[in-house]
Amino acid sequence: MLEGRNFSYTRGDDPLFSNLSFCLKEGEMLAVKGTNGSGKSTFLRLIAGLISPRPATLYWDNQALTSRNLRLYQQSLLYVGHKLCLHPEGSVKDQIRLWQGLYGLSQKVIYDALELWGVGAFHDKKISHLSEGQQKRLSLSRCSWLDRPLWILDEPQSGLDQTGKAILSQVLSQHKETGGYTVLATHDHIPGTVEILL
Amino acid sequence: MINRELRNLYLHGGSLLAAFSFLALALFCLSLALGHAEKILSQSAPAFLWILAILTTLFSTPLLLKAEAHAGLLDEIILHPSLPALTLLAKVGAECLLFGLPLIGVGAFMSFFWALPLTEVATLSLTLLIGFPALSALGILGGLLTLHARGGSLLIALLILPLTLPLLLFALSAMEMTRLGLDSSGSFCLLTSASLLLMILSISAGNWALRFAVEG
Repeated sequence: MLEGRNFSYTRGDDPLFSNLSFCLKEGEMLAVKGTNGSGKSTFLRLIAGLISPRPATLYWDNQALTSRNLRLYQQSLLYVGHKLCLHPEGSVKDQIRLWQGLYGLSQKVIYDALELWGVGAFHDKKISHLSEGQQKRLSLSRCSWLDRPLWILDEPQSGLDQTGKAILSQVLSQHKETGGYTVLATHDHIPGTVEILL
Repeated sequence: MINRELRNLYLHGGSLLAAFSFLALALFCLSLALGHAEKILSQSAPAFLWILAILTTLFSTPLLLKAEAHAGLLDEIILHPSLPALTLLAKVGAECLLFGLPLIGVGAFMSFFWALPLTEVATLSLTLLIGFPALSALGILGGLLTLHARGGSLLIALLILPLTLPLLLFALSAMEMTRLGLDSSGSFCLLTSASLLLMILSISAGNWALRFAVEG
């Protein structure tokens, strides 16, 4: 179970949000909604433990997260932010090799995921030569090959075409069915989600 | 982990080549400018090489980190199961292999144009071999500390450049001892200690600075 209690964040002198609480059970999806600049990305980065103050108000498996167990928690999550964590100077093949080195997976597992996301044919292409949507698909393909129970996705639908959105929807449903947790920032309505408005 | 960072650094090949070309060209210009004064050149060239190594490392490493931060790759370091400090250490290792070793090679190559005796060439190479990991770690620390700061280069000059002075002084002291035919082991001990200490401090501080940099 992922539970957040009294989430507050102030940027400079402006409070972005205050006293936000949520509780996410197995197989549930939390959709964080709000206008541009309302703090959706910040909220997601707080949940991922990328922003301090450390979320002492965040509970994972009924344990409050502190600096001691934060790293363990971070190993259970997959974060795909606005910055796509792709090496723009390299090719898709280079990126796969980097991922392989980073997570110790076989190339086949990653290539299969790329096929699913429709970017398998671009392995020789330089990442900076891919379109925004193709880069997004490449980055989101981590959902399919990295086995993590908690997904934190920042506007995963942005930049995707209808086919991309359909693949995302299918992958999210599968994750939900297997009991995975998902927190995502979105402007769209996604059926079957718990919503938070910032 | 070093293998992964080598790949990562290899993908920044253009920036690395630019930094390396700057260093090689500056050394070439120095040799041309002081070519007529062979004695001055042979005495001052090692110091120039060290100063250029310091400047190139401190100002090129932050650019590589900036590119990584721009792509969101620093988030990945924080979220990866291995300790961020180990990743930073792997970055130092990769930079030593892809930038430090060629730098030593260029230094050794240019030494023949500066008419340095073989013992001095060996001493110069050894000082660079010992000192470069600390320079690289300091470059990473500087890059992380100034990632979101305006005028980052100026801040690096103010914050990090003074920390390289012990390395420069002990390295040049070792060179001078060798040139005079004296025992240089004391200077080497001091250089090794300074390099180790600076590397440990830079990586520890870098670990903290990385979180600070990721928070933006």
